[in-house]
Amino acid sequence: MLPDSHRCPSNLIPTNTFVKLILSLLNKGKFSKPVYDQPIKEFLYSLKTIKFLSIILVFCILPAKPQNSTITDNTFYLPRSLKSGEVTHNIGLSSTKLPEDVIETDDSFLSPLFTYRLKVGILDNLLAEGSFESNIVTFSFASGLKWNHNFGDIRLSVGTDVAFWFGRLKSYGFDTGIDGWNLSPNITLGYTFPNFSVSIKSEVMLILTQSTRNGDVHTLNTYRTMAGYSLAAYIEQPLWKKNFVVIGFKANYARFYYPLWAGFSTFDRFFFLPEFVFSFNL
Amino acid sequence: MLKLLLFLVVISISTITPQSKDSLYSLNLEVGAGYSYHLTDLNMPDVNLHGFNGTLRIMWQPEHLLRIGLETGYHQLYSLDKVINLTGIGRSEAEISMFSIPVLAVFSMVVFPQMLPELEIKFSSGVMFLNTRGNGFGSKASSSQITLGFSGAATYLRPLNEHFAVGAELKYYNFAKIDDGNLSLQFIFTYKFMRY
Amino acid sequence: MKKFTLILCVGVLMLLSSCDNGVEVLQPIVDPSGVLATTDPVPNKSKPWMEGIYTVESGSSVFGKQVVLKWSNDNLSIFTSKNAGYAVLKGGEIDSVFYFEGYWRFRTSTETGVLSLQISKSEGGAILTAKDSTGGEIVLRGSFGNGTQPGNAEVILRFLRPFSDFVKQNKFYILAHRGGGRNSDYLGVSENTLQIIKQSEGYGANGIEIDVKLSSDGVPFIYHDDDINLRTTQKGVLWGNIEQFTWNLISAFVTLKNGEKIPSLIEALDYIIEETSLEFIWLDLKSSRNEIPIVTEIVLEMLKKGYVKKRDLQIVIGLPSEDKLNNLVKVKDFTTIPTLCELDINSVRKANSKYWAPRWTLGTQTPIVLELQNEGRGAFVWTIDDPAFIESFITEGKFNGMLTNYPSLVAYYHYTR
Repeated sequence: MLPDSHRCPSNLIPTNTFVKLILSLLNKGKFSKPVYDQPIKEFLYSLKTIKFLSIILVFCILPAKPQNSTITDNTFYLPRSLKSGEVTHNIGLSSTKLPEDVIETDDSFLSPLFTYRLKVGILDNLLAEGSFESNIVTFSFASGLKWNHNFGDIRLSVGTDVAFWFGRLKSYGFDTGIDGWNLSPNITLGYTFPNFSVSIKSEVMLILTQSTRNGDVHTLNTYRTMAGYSLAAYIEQPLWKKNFVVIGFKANYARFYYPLWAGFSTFDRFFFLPEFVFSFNL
Repeated sequence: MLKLLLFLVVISISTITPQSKDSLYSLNLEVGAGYSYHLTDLNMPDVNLHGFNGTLRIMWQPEHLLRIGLETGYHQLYSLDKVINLTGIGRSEAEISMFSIPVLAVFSMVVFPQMLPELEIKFSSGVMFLNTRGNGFGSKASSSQITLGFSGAATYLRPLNEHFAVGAELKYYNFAKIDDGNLSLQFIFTYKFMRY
Repeated sequence: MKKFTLILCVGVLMLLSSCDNGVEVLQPIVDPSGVLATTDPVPNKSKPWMEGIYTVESGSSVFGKQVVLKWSNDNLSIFTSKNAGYAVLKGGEIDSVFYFEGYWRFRTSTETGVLSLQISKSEGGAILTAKDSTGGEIVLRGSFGNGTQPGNAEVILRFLRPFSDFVKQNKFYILAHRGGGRNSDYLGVSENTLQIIKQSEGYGANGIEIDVKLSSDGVPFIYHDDDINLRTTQKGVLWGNIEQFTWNLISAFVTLKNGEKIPSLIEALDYIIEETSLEFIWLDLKSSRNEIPIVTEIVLEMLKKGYVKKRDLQIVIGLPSEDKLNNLVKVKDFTTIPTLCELDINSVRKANSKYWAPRWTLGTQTPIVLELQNEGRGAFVWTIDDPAFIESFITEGKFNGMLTNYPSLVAYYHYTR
């Protein structure tokens, strides 16, 4: 947390006009696109704009000043109960370092993923969660239930998400489609400090079913059920006024990382995929 | 990379325009020069790992502990001058050297404001342009590439007056693509060229 | 301030996490002074009778339910569909008893181990050494281990049937990517080297694809990436775009991942002709400059050499882009140059390419494949590694061959047809 005496005014946040100015400058085609010999690299490059926008967001908020607010009220990842019908939203970006063995380059491609999540209160300790994730060629829709309980300052959440996802690619020599259903049991522990909260979430990623089409050939992949598991830490704190941001780090250990489906990895071994998360609680 | 540079410049400019009247902000120009030692597990005894290191930095200094800025510079990483004997080709003197020009976003913080306000801890991240030059067997070659990288530094600055300060900086650079590091000790001179 | 510290910590964690995943494959060591030191080489006449499909009666945890046995030079290979697994063994015979020592490996993972097999006189040994042998039931018994541990798990392979007439009568090219496999397959030897080319036949390949770059002084050499990097090479003093350096500097200062030197194209083709039985070489042109004239000259020279040596060998120049095609048509009598075109079929006809090679992600494209085959051309698909798709493309497609990082898996599905 920045000290209370920090005096950076909130008008340091660029206005929409300012962002538009940057975007218009970027879109003038002055920046040449490298030519890659592999379509997977080409498609990863096409996602760099999103990565760049995420950098803009991070830099824009750095000088801003946090204001006093009730820490728990505006958190998203922190396990907490919602009133029946109460809705909270979270929108942001994550960026993942992909395994060198799969993408076959030691250049650091940070694969970006746009995320939108919401929680809806059902009963006192029960809530529903939904999410949407996309990296332009991949789309994931998930929903699940979570049960929350407080043990003093420590908060616990246990739940399961079911996700349907699909990917499409019809260029660069691909005529490919893939879709699948995943199951993700998860457990979250949270703790609130005076000025911020920390949530630790552990998740297992199981593949229920997955089918792939390349041209006229369809296959059903059933040989990998355990896709991987992850451990993540999310820190939620106010950025300005009551606007909360989430900074997170997720350690994925996965045999199959669904946003990287176009890499067609056939390795039956676990890779470490570090993921940086930055998002806003709406 | 150009996008990032453009963005950082625009952000830097945008953050210095509308400030509260009681704010005390400054832009500092920092210049450093000194010795560097290349840290590598390269197993080649003839390689010279000693070199020159220069830094040019512009830092925005608000009234609190955190400062941000942009840094570039020049690092001699290593050089090699030895006679090579290639089977079927013959002997030749070969010279190879590498230098780096970093372009980094810098975050600097006064960690102990009460006890040691002259000490700043810096973390920088960005890209490094790496250039390799080779000369041997009657030909010369040069090749450049870009790598991601980061650096961490401890800077001790002693103010001379309102505008000038001098000090020293111990800095570690990491170059992701070549999986090597570089340690430098520099003499630093800073000039507070704009205050508002 | 704490927030900044947190951001800093996350950033540092991200940077620290950029290291390798630390994969280590323990290479099993076969004792050269073991039982094989006391045996004679396996008679060439015995080898065809051993080849075929075998049922796995014991040892299915590694070999699945069924395996293929195939000889390549002095190596006996075993291919299974389980985890793209294979085994490579050296053999010997004494008093009609056959002994085999080697290793097995799951290609999709990093599991490996030693393997010892034996054919007793009564379970096939006598049949295999008989003067007028016509084959018969053969049983291989032995043991396998995990990692570098000695083998203590039982394996029994029982002869089921020989290869089908379809397999015997139809040539199918199993092409190993980058000479035999990628560095990410952790084979103990580096991609695009003489060493991996030597091993490729043991993996099930009868052909290879290798990547061709051009040094600044015009020497074609075998290398995949644009730059000298830690994916392909050991740490050295030379970095940057590899094509900007002379061949002598590359030879002097670049060492590949597993300690090998980069081979020139001439060295690689010469080695293939002299030391292997490979039948098909696909040169994947990767240079940013026009290498076609000099590569063509080398290829034609090497084809002549192969002809003199009575080698059944094709060498084709890959055309992966319009640029390369345009460079080709500038060469005099370009239609006589053996090429393989990755572009559309009109480009195949324009270059008069002997082969068409589409990306596998476009499907089997059977009507186009048949159309080109009717014109006397062949068709390969690249680079297919997905086990389910390999099986589908072999059973449903009409291709003449397949480029893959898992030649053993392609071999399994092909030889069990």
